[in-house]
Amino acid sequence: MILEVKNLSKQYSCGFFGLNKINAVNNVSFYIDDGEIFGLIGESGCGKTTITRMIMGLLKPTKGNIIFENENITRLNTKQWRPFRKKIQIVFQNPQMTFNPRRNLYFSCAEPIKIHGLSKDMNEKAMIRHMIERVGITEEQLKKFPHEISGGQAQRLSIARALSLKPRLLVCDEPTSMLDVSVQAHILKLIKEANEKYGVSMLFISHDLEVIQAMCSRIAVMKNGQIIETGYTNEIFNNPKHEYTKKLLSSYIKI
Amino acid sequence: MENLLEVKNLNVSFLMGKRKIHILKDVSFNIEKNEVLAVIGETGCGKSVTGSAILHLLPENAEVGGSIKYNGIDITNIHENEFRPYRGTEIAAVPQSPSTSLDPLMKVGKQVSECVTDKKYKYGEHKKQLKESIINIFSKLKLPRINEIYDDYPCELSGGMNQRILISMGIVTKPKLLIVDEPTKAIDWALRKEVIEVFQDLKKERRCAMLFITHDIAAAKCVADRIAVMYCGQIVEIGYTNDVLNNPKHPYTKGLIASMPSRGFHVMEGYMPSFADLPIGCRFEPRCSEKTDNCSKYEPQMINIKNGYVKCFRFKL
Repeated sequence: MILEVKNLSKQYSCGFFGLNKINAVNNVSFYIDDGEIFGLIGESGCGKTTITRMIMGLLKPTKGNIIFENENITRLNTKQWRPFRKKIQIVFQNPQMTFNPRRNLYFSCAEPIKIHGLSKDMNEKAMIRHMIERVGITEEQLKKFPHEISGGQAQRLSIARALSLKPRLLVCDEPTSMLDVSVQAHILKLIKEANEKYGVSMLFISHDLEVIQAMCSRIAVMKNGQIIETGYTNEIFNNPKHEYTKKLLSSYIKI
Repeated sequence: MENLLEVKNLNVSFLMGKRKIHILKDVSFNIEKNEVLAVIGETGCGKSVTGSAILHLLPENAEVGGSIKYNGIDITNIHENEFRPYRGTEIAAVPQSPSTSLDPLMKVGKQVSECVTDKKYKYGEHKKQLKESIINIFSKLKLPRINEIYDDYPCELSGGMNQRILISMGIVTKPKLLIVDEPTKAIDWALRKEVIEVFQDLKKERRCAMLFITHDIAAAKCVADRIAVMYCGQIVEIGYTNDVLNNPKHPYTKGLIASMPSRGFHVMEGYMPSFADLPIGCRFEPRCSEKTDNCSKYEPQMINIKNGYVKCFRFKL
């Protein structure tokens, strides 16, 4: 077990004096095994992204615990988080927004390597060359700026950047919802390859049932901040138990 | 059957500085009455440009060649004043991305009624009647709490609801041809089905012809009678929905369909060439797995098949 989430809750306060409380995530528990792709599905606004943000340490949970490799990472401060950042990486939904628009792509790609001091024993340039080769991007393209490349290229680069730190867990927050079908195939293949070759465990979030079915071994279905059903992908797709899951699966259009 | 819209050898080019960049090349298709034609293809292949060219919504620096005939009348390069009676009343559009197409500071009901009040001369409806008819459309699109929604702002509604508001703006004038641009883009899986159903109903009840621009192949399958596959500004294959999806003839169509997750997501090598330097022969040649010597030298011609055509050297009848 690489990651365990126990009774996680997040409550937002808003409105007059913050009196209006909204439960974005309510008592969520799940675990991810070593080398597994775990899928999280649900409609937009059901709290999927809030969960990823809490796992990444970008939001503090109201209640509950997140345990990564037998260490509780729920209430660490920024300094204590540092070593874990290397082990948990994320791929965001909108790739172009994750690069600094004022610096070229080389700078953005080298930044994590610099921050984590990985270039001591190896040449930084050689490292980056090695990492972009895997995703099929040339060094020429790294001289460009984020707005000059396509969404698919940007997403491949952000996957390469995330994998350059050799993480143990990769969180993919709807990595292909902004992309075309043909480009989507590229990205999914890359993600799957990272899982098979380097044994990176993954939390894969999507609302696309087709993608989830092709990628994940186990899935959890979310609604209104709660997990309503969890199990092996085949089981849930063939034999959904909860009403909402049935409704969700009925919207699956087969080609 | 009679052709409602006939597009023949449509060429669109943009003037960039001193250079001319050709986007659409020899695009030909026709839409019959009460027929839905889906145009599928990658981002940036010219799908939306086709829609805008029909609606005369291209920017100033665009040059349109070829012919677009609506009900037998050539509307390709007619003056803006002559085109105005068509736009909105005869040919209407449902633009893409509701988040940017709706005015955030105007109530949605007013935005929909604006489409009609502009054309008062034709309808002459009383304000109250207009509101009733709009609410009627809302209820047909299965929007919840229809009476209150009329006075809501776009930010108070969800993405799927906003998408349906856009659709009602398109159909409130009862057009004969609807040009729908990416209705299911960035929409949730559950809502996507609802939106698709709305279009299926529109086709059945209103008997309205549609040009359905999308890259969502599943949506195209549900709605369209025929599918046109576009690559790099050209239609490479057009035919009946079932024929195109189950028995694709052009290598690009084959690749596109094989790249879907349910078909095992096989990756197509390479990328679409830039419009600034296109290959001389077939535009798909650099990525094609079945290319011959002819492909890089000459452009393939149209080969007519049942209700459509294919542009490929490898294809034999």
